[in-house]
Amino acid sequence: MRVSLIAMGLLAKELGTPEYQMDLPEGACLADLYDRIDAEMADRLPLSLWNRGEKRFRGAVVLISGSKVIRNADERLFDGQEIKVFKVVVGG
Amino acid sequence: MGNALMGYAGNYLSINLSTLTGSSGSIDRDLARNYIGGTGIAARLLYDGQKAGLDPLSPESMVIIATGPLTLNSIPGGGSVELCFKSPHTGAWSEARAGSDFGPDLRRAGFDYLVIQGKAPRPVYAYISDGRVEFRPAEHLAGKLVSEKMELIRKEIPKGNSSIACIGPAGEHGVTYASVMFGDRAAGRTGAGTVLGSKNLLAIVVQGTGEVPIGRPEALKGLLKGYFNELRTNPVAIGFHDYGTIGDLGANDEKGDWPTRNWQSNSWGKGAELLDRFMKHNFIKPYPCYRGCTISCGRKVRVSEGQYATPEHGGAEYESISCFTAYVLNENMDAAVHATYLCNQYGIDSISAGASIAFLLECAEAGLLQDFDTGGLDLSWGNAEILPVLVRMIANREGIGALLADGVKKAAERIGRGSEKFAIHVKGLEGPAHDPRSGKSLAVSYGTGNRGMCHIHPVEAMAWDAGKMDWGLCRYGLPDPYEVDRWAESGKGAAVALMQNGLNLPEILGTCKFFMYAGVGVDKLAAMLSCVTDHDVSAEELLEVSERVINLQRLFNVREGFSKADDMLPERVCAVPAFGKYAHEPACGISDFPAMLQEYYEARGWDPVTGIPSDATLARLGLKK
Repeated sequence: MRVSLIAMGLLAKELGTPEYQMDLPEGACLADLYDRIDAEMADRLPLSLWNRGEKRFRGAVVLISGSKVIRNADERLFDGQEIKVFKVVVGG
Repeated sequence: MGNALMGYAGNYLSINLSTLTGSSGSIDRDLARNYIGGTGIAARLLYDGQKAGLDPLSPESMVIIATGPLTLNSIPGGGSVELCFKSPHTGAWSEARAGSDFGPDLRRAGFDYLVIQGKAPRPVYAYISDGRVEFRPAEHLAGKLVSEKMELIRKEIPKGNSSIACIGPAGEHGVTYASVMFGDRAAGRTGAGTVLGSKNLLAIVVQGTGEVPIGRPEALKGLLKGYFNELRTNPVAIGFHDYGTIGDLGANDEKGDWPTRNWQSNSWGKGAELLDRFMKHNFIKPYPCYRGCTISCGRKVRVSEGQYATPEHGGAEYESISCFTAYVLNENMDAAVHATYLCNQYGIDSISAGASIAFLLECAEAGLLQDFDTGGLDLSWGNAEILPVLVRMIANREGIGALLADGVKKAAERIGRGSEKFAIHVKGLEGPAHDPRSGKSLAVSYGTGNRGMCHIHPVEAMAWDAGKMDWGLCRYGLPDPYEVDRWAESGKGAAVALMQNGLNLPEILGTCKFFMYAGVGVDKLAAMLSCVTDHDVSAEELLEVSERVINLQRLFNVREGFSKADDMLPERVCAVPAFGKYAHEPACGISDFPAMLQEYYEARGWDPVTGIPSDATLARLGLKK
C-alpha cells in the first residue's frame, strides 16, 4: 500500500520537498512508517526532530491524518492515506 | 439585568490591609469600554491611583488582581488572572499572569478585580466569598512552603470550588522576584509575591456561586462550538498537549533560540538529548491549569529516586528547565526538575533564579567574588548539586543567596569589578530562555517590553521570524513570516509594534495567550467579546485598545524615570555567540539595534529622540501625560 507523507509549514521549507510517497506492506502501522523514514529520510531530518536511535519523531512534531491525530506506534495505516507532518512552535 | 454591565461581574473590591477592611464599588462603564479589563484597567488604575516614585514595598503601594470579560471557564483560555503593580525588582510597570481557576472564581465571588493596599498588622489571608471579604489570622502559615500553606488553608474553608493564591517563604523574606502561586502555576516574574509579602498578606482565597451575565449566550455557544471543534485538530494545540512548553527544547537549541552559559551562546547541542531524558524519566502526563482547558500544556512530572527525588507535581516548563540546564550548563535533568520544583515551593521566579545563578557562576569563574562568602560551594559550570542548595539560599536570603535575592542588576552593582557585563537584563529584569539571535524581532520586543526583558509579555517575537507563526495578524499588516529573513534587521521594529498590540490582548481580555497560538486570533477574540458584552467590537478596535494600554504602561515607566536608554540590550545578547552551532554565523549577531529601535518608535508614534509617546499619538489614543 502507498502512504503519502506531507510536510507542512516550516518543515516543508526545511526539507525542500513537501511530499513523500512511501510504499508499505499491507497492514503496516506507524512503527513501520517510522522504520521507512529512518531508512530514507533520517539524514535530512535535524537531530532535534528525529531520534535515530529510537526511530521516532521527538519534540513538537505532530502527525495528522484527516481529522485524526496519529500518536501510537501500533496505529494501523491504510492505502492512500495522507499524513500531514507539522513541526510546531509551542511557545512559552 | 437592564443596567447590568454584560460580561462583567460588575463590581470591584478595594482592600485596605492596614484597617483590615474591604469596600466594593461598581465597574465604571467608560473604563470598561476604553480599557476592557485585565492589564488594561489595571494600567489606568495604577497610573491614576499611585503616585510616581512610590516605594513598591510601602503600605501605600497598590496591587491590582484583575480579570477580563473573557475570564470564564467556558472560553478558550479563560482560566486566567493578572497581577499588576510597580515591581520591587525593577521599579517599572509590572504584570504577572497565571493560568488558574482563580480568575473565573473571583468573578463568581462577585468581583472583576481587587485593589489591594495597606499593610496588615500581622500575617493574614483574605477569604473572599460571594461579595464579602474576611481577613483571617495567618501566623500558622508563616514560613511554610507553598503546598503546605495551601493544604492548611484548604482545611479551613468550605468544601466546593475555590481557588487559592499564595506566596512562599521567599515572598515573606523579601526576595525581590518572589512569585504568587496558584496551585502549581506561578505569576512568577517581577515580584508580585514580594509586594504581597510586604503587606503581610500571605494568601487570598476566592469562592463564589454567582454567574457573570452574558449578553448573547446563544450566539456565544455557537461560536464556542466551532472554535473548540477547530482546536481539536489544530497542530499547535496538539503540540502543546502532547509535549508541553518543554517540547521546544531540542528545536530551539537547533535554531539558536536557547541561551547557553549565561548567554555566551544561543545553542548548546544537548537540547534534544535532555528532552528525551525528560520524556522517559520525568514526564507523567499532561494536565490543565483550569477547569475547561482543552490544551492542557501543563506537565505532571517527578523524579522517582536518587538525591533529587521529587514528588509528582505540575512543573518542568520550558523556561524554568532551560534556566536550570543550558543557562548553567547542567546536564542533569533530575536536578533541574528538582530545582524548579523548589522554586515553586519557596515561591520564587524560576527564570530570575536560574539567571542569577548563571551570573554567579560566571562571576566565580572570573574571580570576582573574593569579597563574598560563598559558603564553600563549588561554583563550577555544570555542577548540578549546587542548584537546589542555591535556590534555598536565595529563598531564605542566606549567605551568597542574599546577594542573588535582588537579581543580577543589583548583584552586579554590589560586586562591581566589571561584573555588570555578566548581568543579562533589560530594565532590571533577567532575560528568559529565548534568544534574539534566532529571530531578531525578539531583540525589539525584549528592549521595549514594558515589564523588561520578557519573552511573553507581550510577545515572543522570534516565533514570527524564526518560527514562522503569524497569530492571524497578517491581515492587519504583519508581513508573511515565510517572506521574512529571521536575521534581517530592517522591518522588524514596525512588525514588533503590531505583534505587541495583538499578543497583548489576552492580558487585557483575561485569557491564555497559547490559544492565540492555536488559532483563536484577534477576530475570534473580538467575536467572543462582542457576544459576552453585547457590545459589538471589531478586531481593529481591539488592537487600538491594546495600543492604548501599551502606551499608558510606557507613560507609567517614563514617569518612574525610565528612558530610551533603558530599552537597550546587553552587549552580549547582540554579539555573535562565543561557541556553539552559530559561533561562525556573523549574520546572527545584531549589528544595529538602535536603528531597529528607531523604526519601532516611528511605528509607535513615539519621539525618536526620547522614546516618549508623542502628543499626537496620545491624543489619537485618548491619553494624556
